[in-house]
Amino acid sequence: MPGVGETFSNPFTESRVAKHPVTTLDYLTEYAFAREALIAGVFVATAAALLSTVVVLKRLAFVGQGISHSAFAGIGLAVLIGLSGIWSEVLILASCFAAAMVIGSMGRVRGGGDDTAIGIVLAGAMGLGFLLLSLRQPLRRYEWYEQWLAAMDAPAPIGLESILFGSLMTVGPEGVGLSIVLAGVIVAALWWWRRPMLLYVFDETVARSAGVPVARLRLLLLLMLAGVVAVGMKLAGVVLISALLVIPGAIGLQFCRRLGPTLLVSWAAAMAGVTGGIVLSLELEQFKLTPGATIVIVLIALYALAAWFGRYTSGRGQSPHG
Amino acid sequence: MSFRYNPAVPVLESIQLTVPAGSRLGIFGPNGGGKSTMLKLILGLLEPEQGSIRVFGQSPARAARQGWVGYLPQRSEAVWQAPLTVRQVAAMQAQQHVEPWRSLPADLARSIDDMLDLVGMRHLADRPIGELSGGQQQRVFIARALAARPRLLIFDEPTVGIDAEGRDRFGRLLNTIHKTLKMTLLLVSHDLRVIMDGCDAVAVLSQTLHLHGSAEGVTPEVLAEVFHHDIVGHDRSGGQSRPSAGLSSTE
Repeated sequence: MPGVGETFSNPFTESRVAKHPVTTLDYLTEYAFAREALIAGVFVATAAALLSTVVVLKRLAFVGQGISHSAFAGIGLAVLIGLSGIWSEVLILASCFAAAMVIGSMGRVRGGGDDTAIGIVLAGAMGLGFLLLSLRQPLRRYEWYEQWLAAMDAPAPIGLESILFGSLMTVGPEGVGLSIVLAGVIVAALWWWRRPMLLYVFDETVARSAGVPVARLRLLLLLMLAGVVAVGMKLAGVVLISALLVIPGAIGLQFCRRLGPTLLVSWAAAMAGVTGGIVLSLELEQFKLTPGATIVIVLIALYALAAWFGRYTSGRGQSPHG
Repeated sequence: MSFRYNPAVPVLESIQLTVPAGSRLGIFGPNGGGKSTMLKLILGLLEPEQGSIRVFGQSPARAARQGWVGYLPQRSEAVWQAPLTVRQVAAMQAQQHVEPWRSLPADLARSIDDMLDLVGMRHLADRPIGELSGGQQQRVFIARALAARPRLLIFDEPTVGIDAEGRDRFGRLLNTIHKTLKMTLLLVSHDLRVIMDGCDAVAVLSQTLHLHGSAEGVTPEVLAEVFHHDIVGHDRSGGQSRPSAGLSSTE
């Protein structure tokens, strides 16, 4: 993994560009990091696509932003302590879960609302993350800290650009394992709670009056969002992962009028966005494009196409109530 | 039972009311008189400050969990952009008690279609909910509540924004529901005509219960008392009331 402060550099770039314009398939067969990124991407896209329809309908896009930015605090703490591998992932996941729970509980506090809670959590987590990241270098002057890092077998931390905009090289086998578990848990949870979740998403007031545990469903939803953010941020970055939680659902809802097709189109869009973004990142590596940026560009292109197509279908979803 | 949001301003005071099972009660009163608050208390969304509420002998929250209560709110917060058909929306509440690993039982699916039939919406069962008019959506929501086979069905201001023809159609539907399903109906409205058309008894509510009996008991004196109370109450708390809106609908 590249170290903190190091410029993002791909050790394969020079040899590859020097040889010939190699295709992505060469990368996938030759290098484990590319395979891992693609496999993790497929599973993260599956989980994100299913949630994105709910995110769009419940207007939770800003919540996704709040949770994704709070991963930064977890990364900062992991870097400062010198955690690596699965423990680093667990800490990032914990920070996203904590943010989800704070946002969930603050939304009910008097005088607060979701957007207020998210604004506070987002700014606070970003500030804390930068503070913790900045502390590592000055602390290295102290012998006890060096000894601590040595005892922890601390790796060189990830570059800032990779944290913010993603990197194919930071996914690793842990990322693949976590993405498979995450997708499995989210698919199972959404299937198990599909009936109360559907009523909660469509009509929260009636859901509450029918005895549906609305507060618990909301927390479950936030925790699932936190899971996607924590696992997917290595690929798409802290700043851009929330796009994966919004754009696929928005594409599906552009021109589908049934739940099944909407979920299917959202899933296909997420898969196209992630795999297309990874391929673009690999093919155009001489431009050093981060996968987060290429994934978002592909998704936005698909959204524009869907919006254009949607204009030619009948005016759906316009409530007579305005 | 009494309730207040703010310690200084009582919303409901010393309310004592029994609704016999299978009857139809209309709750009438001015805006700000506590009608919607009373519904929230019956639904278990709020807790009384003093006293208690029992729904078929159980706490409101327990009755809601048992699926005994159907509710049609005044302003629907439904997400119209949701890619759902009329049939899917009608099934939403009834299927809450089906185990997650089971598909929808055939008799329940039939019952949902029957309820759509009852409200005259079966022919639109496969249409997206967002494509329906306001009146049609309201009938689908009634079918959704009925399909869950509640013992008590609560309507909060069901005729707001509906024209005279729609109001008459709603009155006929209410009578059909009562005749066919024999459930207890609670109808909150500031429109006395709707209550007189569809209910056996009326409770006049403005902070406290002014009358509980037949609709003929709602005399001009009772109305004057209730709406005067409304004016005084609102003047005390900031003077934003428009009592004439409530009165004009009863004239």
